[in-house]
Amino acid sequence: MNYDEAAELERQSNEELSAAKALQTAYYIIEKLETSKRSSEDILEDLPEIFVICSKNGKIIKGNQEAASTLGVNIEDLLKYNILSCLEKSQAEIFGDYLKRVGDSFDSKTFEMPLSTKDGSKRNYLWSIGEFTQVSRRRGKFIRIIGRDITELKNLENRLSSIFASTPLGILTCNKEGKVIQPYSAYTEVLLQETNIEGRDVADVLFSKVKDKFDSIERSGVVQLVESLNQDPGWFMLSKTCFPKRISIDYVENNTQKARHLGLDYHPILENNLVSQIMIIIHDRTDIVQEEKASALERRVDSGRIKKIVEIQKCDSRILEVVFEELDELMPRIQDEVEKKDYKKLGNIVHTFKGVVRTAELSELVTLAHEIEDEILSSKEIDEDALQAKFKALLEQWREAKRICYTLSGKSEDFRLDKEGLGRITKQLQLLHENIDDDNKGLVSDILNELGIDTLKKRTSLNMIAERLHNQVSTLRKSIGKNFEIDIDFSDKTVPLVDRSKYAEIFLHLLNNAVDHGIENPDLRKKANKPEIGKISVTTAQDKDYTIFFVKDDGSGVDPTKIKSKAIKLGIVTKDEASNLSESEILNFLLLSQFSTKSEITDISGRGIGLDIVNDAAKAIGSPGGIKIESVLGEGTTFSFKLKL
Amino acid sequence: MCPASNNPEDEEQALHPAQELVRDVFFSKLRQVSCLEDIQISSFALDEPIYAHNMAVILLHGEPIRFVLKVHYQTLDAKKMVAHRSSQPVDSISDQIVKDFMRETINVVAGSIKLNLLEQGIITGIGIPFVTKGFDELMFTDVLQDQEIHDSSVLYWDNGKIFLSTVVKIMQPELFENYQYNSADSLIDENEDGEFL
Repeated sequence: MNYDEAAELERQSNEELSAAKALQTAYYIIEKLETSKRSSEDILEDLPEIFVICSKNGKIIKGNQEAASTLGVNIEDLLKYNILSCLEKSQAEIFGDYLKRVGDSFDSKTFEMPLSTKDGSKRNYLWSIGEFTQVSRRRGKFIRIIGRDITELKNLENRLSSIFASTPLGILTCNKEGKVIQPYSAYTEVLLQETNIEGRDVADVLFSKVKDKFDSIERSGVVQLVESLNQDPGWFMLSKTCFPKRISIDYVENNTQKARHLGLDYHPILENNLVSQIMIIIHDRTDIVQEEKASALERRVDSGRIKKIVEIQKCDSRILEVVFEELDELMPRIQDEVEKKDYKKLGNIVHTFKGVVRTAELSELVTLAHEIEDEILSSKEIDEDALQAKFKALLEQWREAKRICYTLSGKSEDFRLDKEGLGRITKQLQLLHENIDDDNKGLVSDILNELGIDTLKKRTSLNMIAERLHNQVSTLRKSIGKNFEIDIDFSDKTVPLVDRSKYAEIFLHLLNNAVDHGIENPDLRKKANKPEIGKISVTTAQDKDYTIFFVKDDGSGVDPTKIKSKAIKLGIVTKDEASNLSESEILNFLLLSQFSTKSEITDISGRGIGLDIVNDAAKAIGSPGGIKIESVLGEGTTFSFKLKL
Repeated sequence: MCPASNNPEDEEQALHPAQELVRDVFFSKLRQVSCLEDIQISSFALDEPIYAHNMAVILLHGEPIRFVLKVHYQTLDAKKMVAHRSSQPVDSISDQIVKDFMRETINVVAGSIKLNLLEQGIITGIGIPFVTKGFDELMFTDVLQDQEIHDSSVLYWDNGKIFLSTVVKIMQPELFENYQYNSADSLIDENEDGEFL
């Protein structure tokens, strides 16, 4: 080997060495690239979604294992197929249309479409079709198809829908435009009393029936609800404070008007950190509201009880004692008449009852008694059930008042019950005593004595009644705005204890009558040149064996002409008969039941059931002829009755 | 010895000697190792993506020239080739044998090209062949560069085909001005008939 050959050999060796070094470097790089590529290929191949790259006309360029499995071909054979030829005709048409649209534009398309697999089952896929951007433009546009199997998701969605359908909540969502979108729970429409709410304005769906009841803040909240869409979450949270949170929807069920009370909760759904949707959860809080109302009612009952306690505490204990004793007598009578359905008598007794409880200023008992009177005297047919309910309420109120009273006074409830029963027994024995006229009368009297009551013999001073009457008059003064003085002088007269309530009944009615019908308003008195303060007096006089009681007022007096014309109008007398009557006879018409000269009924008197009761009561305690009326028009009226004490 | 191209435009365009070399060596070597007498070769339009799932690749590098040789094939086609060569049923050929076969084939092809170039005084080195999947022409940028020759051809027989894609970069074009390509057939040594199998 000469020098030149040796040099050439060395040059070749160096060149080969240089090439080998370059190759070594290149190989190292390629190996790394290949490893990386292989990893991405493995990932792509094992991707759980269908992944296909195809031409615009559907010719498959590349696909993964899932695509091959779904289409039922070998992964390497995918390259021989056109994806459209692998689909059913209708599916191929849809797919072909999307491929064309994506091929003609740069938009991506996402849609749901089921796919029939080789094994014949049908599965739901969410398809995403877009441009495959990695390939060189030299070969034109290729399409990337990703199909995600959402069959299980759909099943879950169906299950969720069924839960939606059965959940007792209203759940709805509105989109960026404030329109209600699917899905929403079936109960939503029931709660809101709406149908077909999809696509409608959410504010309209939620508030159209109730917006008229909204205050200014809630009205502003309705506007802000829609305006908070597409805003950041902070803005939403601020606006949310104004959103209506409680609404009441009126509806009719079985011809009955009802109200459904709903609570609203608002939840933002964010997209790119903006509120893209709002989910509204509606819950029925009708039961809660009813419970709240019941609690409020209980509180009112409690406050009613407190009111009673205050009223009882304000009342003089002596008056209370008398009042409860009289009510003990009156309640059994009311009960009897309720059972007998003798509503005229019942009305009379309740009227008396009202007068008695007014003396003690027990307002709820007064109101109830007044309502019972209304029920009895209304022109409509008496609703016996309503009357019974009111009577029951009256009984309860009375018992409660007594319970409070005894509690305050330290007496036991047992005593109250015994006393009540004793009142009934006493009354029955007294009736028996009055109605039998044989040797047994003494026996009954003995029983009464044995009971320690000795009612028939016991007497009481009328001054006790005077105190009550004063009390009632002061109550009246406050309520009707008339100005008058009252002077009661029974001259220490005593009466049998059993008759005390009847005396009280008589004088209460006559005083009521004097205040309501007799004494004029201050203005009228002034015009009539009379003292501004009217005068009412209760006095007694003695005429041999008889004691005469007078109730006199200096009021307007009774106009006989008015009485006469009313008597004619009521058909009590004819016009001809009336012309022959004396003034005294005309005034006696006032003692007839259902007769009142005052057209407006007040809660004091004037129902036309007052003076006949007084007359009956006077006769019952032994007054021959009952009540006598004398009146001078413009000067006043005097009622009187006489009896042997 | 290049068969007529399917593409009329390609027919009119004269191939670079380097292209001719690669195609001819590849054609003759593949026919030799596969024993497929009816195998033919044809040009493949550059704008068409090559459809195949697997690729065997090897680098050939020298100062004047650089080759990237890629054989794209479907496993089944390669299996058919191996089955034919070994007279065994297609199902009995494993994927691994197919990979080895393709790796060795491209190694032999690269070796022949190296020898041919060496005869012309062009020294190159051969890299290590490897086989990968999915490394198709679709997945990487195929923008044509100056001084690079991109060549694609398909070798086909009665029940299969494989693709050859080559990127040749000539750094010293003057060396190829008077390049005389001798048919690769002359390089075939009958004693080297695929002993690697």
